[in-house]
Amino acid sequence: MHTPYQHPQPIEILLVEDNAGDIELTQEAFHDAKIVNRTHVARNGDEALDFLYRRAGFRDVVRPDVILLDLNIPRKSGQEVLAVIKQDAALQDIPVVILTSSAAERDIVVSYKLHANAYIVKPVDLAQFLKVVETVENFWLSVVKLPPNPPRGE
Amino acid sequence: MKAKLPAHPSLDFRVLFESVPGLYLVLDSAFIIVAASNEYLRATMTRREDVIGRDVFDIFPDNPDDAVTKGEHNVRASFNRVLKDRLTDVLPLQKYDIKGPDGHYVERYWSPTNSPVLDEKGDVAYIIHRVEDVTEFVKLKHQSGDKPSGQEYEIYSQSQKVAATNEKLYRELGERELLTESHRKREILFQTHLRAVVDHALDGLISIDARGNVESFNPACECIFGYEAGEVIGKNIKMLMPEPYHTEHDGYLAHYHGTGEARIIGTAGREVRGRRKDGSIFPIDLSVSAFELEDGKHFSGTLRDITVRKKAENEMEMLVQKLTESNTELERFAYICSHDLQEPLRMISNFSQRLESHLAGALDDKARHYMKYVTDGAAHARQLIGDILNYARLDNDAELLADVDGQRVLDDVLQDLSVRIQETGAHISQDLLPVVHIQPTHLRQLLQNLIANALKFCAEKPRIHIGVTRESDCWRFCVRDNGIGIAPEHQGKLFAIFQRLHNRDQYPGTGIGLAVCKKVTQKYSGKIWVESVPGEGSTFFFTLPCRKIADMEVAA
Amino acid sequence: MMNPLMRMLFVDDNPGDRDLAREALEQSGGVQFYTACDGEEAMAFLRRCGAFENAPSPHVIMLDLNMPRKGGLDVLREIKADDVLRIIPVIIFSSSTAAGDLHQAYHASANAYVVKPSTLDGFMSAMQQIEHFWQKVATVIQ
Repeated sequence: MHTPYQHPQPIEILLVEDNAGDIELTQEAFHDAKIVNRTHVARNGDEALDFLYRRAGFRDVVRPDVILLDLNIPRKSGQEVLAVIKQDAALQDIPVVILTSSAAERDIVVSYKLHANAYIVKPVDLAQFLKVVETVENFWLSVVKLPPNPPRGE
Repeated sequence: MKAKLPAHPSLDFRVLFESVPGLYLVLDSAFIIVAASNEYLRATMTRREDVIGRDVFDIFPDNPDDAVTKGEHNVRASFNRVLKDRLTDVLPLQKYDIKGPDGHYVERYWSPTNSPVLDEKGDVAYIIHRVEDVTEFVKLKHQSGDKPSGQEYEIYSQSQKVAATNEKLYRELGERELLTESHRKREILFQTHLRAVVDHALDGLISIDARGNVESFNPACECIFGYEAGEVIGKNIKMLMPEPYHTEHDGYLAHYHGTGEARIIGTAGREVRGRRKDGSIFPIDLSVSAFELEDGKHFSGTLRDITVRKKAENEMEMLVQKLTESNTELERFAYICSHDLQEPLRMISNFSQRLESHLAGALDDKARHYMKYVTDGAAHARQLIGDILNYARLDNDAELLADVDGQRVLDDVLQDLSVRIQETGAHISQDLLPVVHIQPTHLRQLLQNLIANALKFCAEKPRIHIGVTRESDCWRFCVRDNGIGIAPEHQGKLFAIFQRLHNRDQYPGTGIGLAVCKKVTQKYSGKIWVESVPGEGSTFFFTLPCRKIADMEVAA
Repeated sequence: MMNPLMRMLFVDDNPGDRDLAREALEQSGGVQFYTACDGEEAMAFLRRCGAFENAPSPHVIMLDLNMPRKGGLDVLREIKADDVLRIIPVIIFSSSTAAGDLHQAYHASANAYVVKPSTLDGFMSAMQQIEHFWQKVATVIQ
């Protein structure tokens, strides 16, 4: 398949997820991806924000190109994190894909209202889950043109 | 004015003179005796015919037996004083022995007075040498048994001393006068020199007093302003200024006097406006300095009429602006053109393809053949437009300059070209690339275009080397291949846009790759060139500036 | 979660692109395809004004940028400022790769930006991928 863009640097993905199993599966799936990428993990809302603001032990991290965000996480909730990201001019253009088990309409509406870029309900079935991750990868890392990053200091 | 006296025929002044009761000699300015009174001849035991026309000191030399006498010296000195000062000179008591008829010198003492006779020009024509013979008096004192009385001797020796001192003083005065004269002459020369400098200066030199009244106005100023110095000197300098300086100048002066704050004084070349005699206003380059004399502060200005220079500057500015506008417009034009062309081209391309598949069965060979031209043409046009867009966008893109790791960019480029590298079995070697301060896309395009070319224009297995060396102020990159090479006659137009040396069925491409490389290197004031031997290979070189990061040099 | 029938509003002033997009999605059968030819028509559709009184509410919007009268960026901003309309994902679909356009789109809260491929195959493939993600994978408000 014709992939329009080859990114010069690996796509940086921030996975905000507290379920160890899901973390492993997601990371593995992305590892096999056609597009060069790197996954980083934050296990709760506070960690996620620390990562994004490069503080408290996350001083040398990169700015993620895309964020996969579970709503159901400890400390700050996924929606709180989403709100913070989408209200910060420096972070708001990073695409945030909600990847969560909740199918509740309320959660979906609130997320889109908070400018989540997409909302995905995690399949229970493993094979489906992997397929979903693959589709996310195909779409967000390949078809979609991600926002231009501010120049990275080497 | 002298009254003209009636001439008395019987009056013989010569006889009168010769008979005068007194010891008189008349000498010319060379000390030649021209006349002598009878009494003088008697007192000096000489005859008129022996002395007239002779040098007085030949006739009356010093007594050779008198070792200490300074007779001739003193009298000669006196004559010179008379010549110089044109005034009467009185000598103190002077011993001057006279030669007797038998050749022996006899002791004589005199009291000489020398006076000048001036001609119409005021120069000394003659010296009248008058003496009083005081020998008897002196001898009497000697003969009265005692040595010349202490007092008299004292008087004599004192008078000799005084004479000596006088002479010394006179000499010193003379020397000092000479020195003063020499200083004066030097000073005058210096002043004349300065004056000439000011008068001949091409720049205007003007000075004013503390109130702004013009004190000097050199000829260059006269040319510049159209006034004669006489029309300006003494008047306030405001007259040379248009508004608002005209009104404000008093204020400037007052401010300076009051606060000592210099706005224009002491700073070189400021642009102001002046007003000529004919009322025209013109730009001036003005420098002002201040100095203090006994009578207070003065200001001196150097000025230049810069009308011509400003006109040239303005023209240049306008030209630059025009060029920039023209350039920007061209770039925008190229961008818009290619951008807008993309869409119709897409339509042609997409729907001719659709048509092809839609009519698949219905098309005969000829129709299929024609369709191929349509789709190929559209594809080619699309590629060209894409390239132009890319080329034009090299300026438009608002990507920021960054410290880009050349190594990383090269890795990405090689990754991109990995398929082609694999297909051709190319062997790639490289130096470790440095960090360069550049827009990331630009470095990428440079390397990508050159390496892609190296891969493309090969006859056999490509061997490509990407190298870098550090020159004094830049990095020199090279991309070397063992490909088909470029003939010298073609190397000139290599970097021109859309220039190709081959047909598209020989080697694909639109011919924009090198033009892009050239434009990019030019943006960074770098150079790009090629060394190539047909059949052996080519090496493309390009330079990019080195950048100091903080105080450290960036090393490979 | 699969959306049974996804309603897509495709906003583009280029009739050729509208046709191609429709063709690309016809095959799957999972998309109900609506079009608007410029920004004003798009807003009229979304607000159900005039001729679009009975227009349905789309699940997803694809939006070109360069359009006459009202451009895509203005439409995007209007949609995201509207309390009701903002929950509809908007995908910018434009041939522009200019960084400025990208930046402005994401800054205005575009959900995604897809560059219109210049080849036919690429175009069709992109449309299919978009459909695949939004119709079969993502969850949108019904």
